[in-house]
Formats: sequence, C-alpha cells, structure tokens
Amino acid sequence: MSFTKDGVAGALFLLIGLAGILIGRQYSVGTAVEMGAGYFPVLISSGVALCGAALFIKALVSGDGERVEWGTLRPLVVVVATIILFALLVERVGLVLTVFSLVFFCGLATVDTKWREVALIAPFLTAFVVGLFKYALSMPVPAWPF
Amino acid sequence: MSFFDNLWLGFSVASSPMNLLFCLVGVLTGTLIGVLPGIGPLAAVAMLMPITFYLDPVSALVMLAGIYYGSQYGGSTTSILVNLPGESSSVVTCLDGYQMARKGRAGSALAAAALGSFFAGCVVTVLIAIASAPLTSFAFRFRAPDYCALILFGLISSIVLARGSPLKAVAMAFLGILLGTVGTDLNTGQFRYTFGFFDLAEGIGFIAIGMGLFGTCEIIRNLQQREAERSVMARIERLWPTREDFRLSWRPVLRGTGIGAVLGILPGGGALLSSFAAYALEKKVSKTPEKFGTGMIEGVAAPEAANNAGAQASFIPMLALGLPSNALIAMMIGTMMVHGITPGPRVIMDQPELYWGLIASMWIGNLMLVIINLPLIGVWVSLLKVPYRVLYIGIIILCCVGAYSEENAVFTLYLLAVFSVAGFVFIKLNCEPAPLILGFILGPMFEQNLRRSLVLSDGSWGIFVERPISGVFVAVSAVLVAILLLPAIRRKREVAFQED
Repeated sequence: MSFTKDGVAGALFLLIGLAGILIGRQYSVGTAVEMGAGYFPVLISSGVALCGAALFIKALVSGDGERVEWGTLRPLVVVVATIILFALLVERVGLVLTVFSLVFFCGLATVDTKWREVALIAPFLTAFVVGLFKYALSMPVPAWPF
Repeated sequence: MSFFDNLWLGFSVASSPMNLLFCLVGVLTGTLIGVLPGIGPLAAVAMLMPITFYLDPVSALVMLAGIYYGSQYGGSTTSILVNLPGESSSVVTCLDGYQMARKGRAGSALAAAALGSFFAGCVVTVLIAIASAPLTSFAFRFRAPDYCALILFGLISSIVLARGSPLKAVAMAFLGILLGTVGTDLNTGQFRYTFGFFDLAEGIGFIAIGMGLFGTCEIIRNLQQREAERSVMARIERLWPTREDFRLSWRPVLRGTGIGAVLGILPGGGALLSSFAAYALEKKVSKTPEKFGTGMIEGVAAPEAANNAGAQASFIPMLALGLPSNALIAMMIGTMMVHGITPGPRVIMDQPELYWGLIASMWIGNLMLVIINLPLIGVWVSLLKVPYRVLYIGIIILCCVGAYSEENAVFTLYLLAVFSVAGFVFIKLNCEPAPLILGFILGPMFEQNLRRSLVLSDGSWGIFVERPISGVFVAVSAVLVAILLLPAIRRKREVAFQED
C-alpha cells in the first residue's frame, strides 16, 4: 500500500496545523487590537491546517498522483545518527576523537564507501576541523577528553 | 554625502586586507561549491555561516555574498566542460555550452560565460549603488501596515514563482511562519511552542533549519543514488574568444543582464529564473532558433550574464527593504540578525560602511572571479575527480561542527537532526523548502508589524487597503493570487517550468 505525495503532505500539514491551533489556544489569544501571545500562532496554524485539508481532499478526490517512494533509508539513518552521536560525544571525549571516529561511522551511509579512502582522509579531516574551529576560530570546546 | 563619496567609502572598506581576504575566500569557496555537483550554494552558506559568527559583520557578509555569485560562476564551468550543472541556475548553460566544448570551442564558451558574467556583475553593482539609495529613502515612508503588505507581497510572489504545487508552497510558507513564532513572545514574554525546552526560549536557531533543509537532507538524497558515471571531459584549446564570438555575444549579454536585473529584484526571482528566461528570449529573437542546443555562443553568454545579474540584483530588496527575495538571501539576512543588524532601510544610515562595503566588494569579487578563475579552470575541473563518497563525509562532519559552534551547545545538533529528517520528508513529498525559510525569516517581522498596524487602526483590518503604499501591495498580491488561480495561466506556468 502506498500513498500519493499530495495526500501524505496534506495529512501532515493538517496534523501540524491542528496541533498548532490546539497548543496556541492555551496561550492568551486576545483580540485584534490587543493580541495575546496566541493570536498570531492560531491564525497561522489555521492557515497550515486549511492548506493541508485542501491538499488532502484534492488527493482523495482525484485518487491518482505520484506515489511516495522513500528509497533506501540507510543514508538517512546513518547521517542523522552521526549528528546525534556528535552531540553525545563532543563535550565528553573532545573534538579530536569525536571527529576522527565519526568520519568512519559516517562512511556507513553508502555501500559505495571504500574504507581505505576513509582511513586516508580521517586524519586530514580531523586536523583540518580541529585546526580551523578549535585553534583558528578558538571555539570553546575541549580537544581531548583529558 | 554624494554618490561618489559613498562608492569611495565602499571601496576603501572592501579593499581592506581583511575584507579582500574574505572576499577571496568567498569567491573561491563559491566556485568550488559551484563546480561540485551535489552541494548547492545554500548548503555551502548554511555550512559556513557558523564560521562567520567569528568575523566582523562586513567580512561575514562579503564572504557569504562571494559564495553566492562565485557558485553561479563555478556552476557554468562544469556545465560547459563535463555537462554537469554544478548549480541549478546553470542547467541551461549545459545545452549549448557542452555542445560548444565538444566541438573544441570550450575555451570560447568559458570565456563568454566568464566575461558575460563579469559584465553583468559590473552593471548590476552600479545599478544597486544607484537604485538602493532612492529605494531606501522611499522605504522610510513605510509604516507598520505597509511592511505587512510588503511582506505579504514578497511571500505571495515567491509562491507564484516557486516550482511545483502552489498549494504546497503556501502551506510551507505558513509552516515557516509558524516555526518563526517558536520562543518568547516579544510583547507578553510568554513562551510559545517551546515544549519545556529552555533552549527554545530564544527561538529555533537559524543554522539548524537552514542546514537541515538545504544541506544534510540534500546529501541524504544524493546518497540514495548509486555513483553515476562521469561524462568525458572536453579539452580546452584556446581560451580567448575570437572576434566573431565577441560580435555574436555582446547583444545577448546585454539582454541577459537586463533580464537578470529585472527578475532578480522580484521576490522569488533570482538566478535560476533569470537564466531560463534569458535562454528562452535568445531563442525567440534569434534568426536561427533551430540551431540552439547545437553549440550557439548566444545560448551560453545570455543565460550566464542573466544568472549573475539575477543573483546580484536580488541584493537590492534585501539592502533597501530588508526583504529576502530568495532562500539564499534569507540566509544572509539571518546572518545579519545574528550579528545584531536589523536589515532594512536603517542600515544605510547607521552602517554606511557595511552597506557600501558590501556593494563595492561585489565588484571586486567579480573581478577576482575573472582574473583568478580563468587560469584556474584546470584546477577546478580536476577537483571533480574527488568522488562524492569521500566528499560527503567531509560535508557532514563540517555541518556537525558548524551547528555545534553556533551556540556552543549540543541542542543545535538535536535540532539539526530533526530538520534533516524533516527536509528529507519534504523532498520526498515534493515540498520545496524555499517558501518555508522565507516564512521563517519574515514571520516575526510580519507578526510585529501586524500587531502594530491593528493597534493603530483600533482592530480594523481595513487599514491595509486604506493606506496608499500598503493598498498597492495588497492589490498586486491579490492580482498575483488571481493569476495563480486562473486555469489557463496555471497551465502555462506548468509548461514554463517543465524545462527543468
């Protein structure tokens, strides 16, 4: 079972819009002259929801349209995991070890990776990143775990 | 101060060693990005934006601007030599440029592209210098309702000109505005949509959204495809174009510059649209339209001039009104705001050195592109041999470090992860992220001005049509919406974008 791109996009916008309205209504809404914190967000969320509903209904009525094809999810998972691992590691083990190890981890994103190449660029990339951010731009981040 | 004093000030700022250096870094990075397929200028700006936080604002903007027009330039090089448009705006250059290269006229094509771009760059730089001052003084008459209407107009025209379904573009723009409301409400101090995260009190960081929607998710998409075969590279025999080439291309360059300058100013316009329009026009005015696509120098010179002119002209609304006309300019405005500069008509008064320095640096940058890059073409092309499987690792790592450096907090990285996934979903659902980023930048301005307007008018929405300036913008916006809804024009619009 696959869905059309427009149908999924519509449902997504509709859900986000409705959530925006529900949460926004908890803030003081107020009137046009004295807008509360919630007035504008509720207005905009309604716009998102309306567009979503229109897209969704149009997709349902016409029934045809391009189907969603997600493709292989390996690159998505590995890239997002790289970002999260970076967040978990960088302040604990320092920039040098984080970058060096994640270069290898990031290589998992595609089957085209040649590990000899990765091993070759890892030290250069680490030196470049640490040199640029830690030393040239003096970013306050530890270089080493100790 | 007279016009020439201003230009003098600009050049003295732009030619300080520091700014020259960053201009050079910008144009070289831009060319590199343009040459390499798979990373666009948006990804590059998103990646390098964190670095600019360590620079002074003038150098930062000079560098980012350099990346922008440098990438237009680099994109054409690979289009001509290997039939790979490194950049979406140089897709049309492939059509005739690569054919010229195959006939052994790569040098002429490259030179026509370079000199055409340089000419367009010079003309538009002068145009910016001349036009932005009167525009700015006009902008001082703007009150809150006028700004509201102007922002509305900007958003709507970017939707009209966006590719794909207009309804999705509207939804994305709304979503962008909604994301812009996250954080502390300025009027009441209430936290909105922070979900208990204190890190969100200041709003969603611009870096995370820009990098996620334009950088990392593009890489993920590219990695889903297996490595493509590289096409054979054409040889360069002579670089300087013949007298005949000059004779054939000066008129197309002029026309291309004109088109680019006009379309670039329009919100939603910019380089991509300009190059397509210029190519179409050349085909129309040519006596031999059937020969286009077989290596006509007109088909290289005009779109190249146009995309450079368009890229640069899109700085005009940013400098004069603080209004981004495309996603990349929106990123530049984001950078200005990080530096504590509110883009808009006040900049020319309060920070003339920034304003005129940026303009002058554009001319210097264009000159650098011609002088440095023509001899370096061989180097750039050899960079194409760096395989994507190596390149992407470097890009992802740089994105991680860059995102962390924004606030020296890991929270930005978690946001980046979220927006990478969101960007991937948007790509798969054919939702263009450009309207979202425009909405995100413009949303807070829109809300503030909307509140002020309705306080002024005692809650009457009529204020937007009563004031002359805002009335005009509202009327033009209404016409644009009507155009979008008319079926006949909608079909035409679909045809116009089919060439992509």
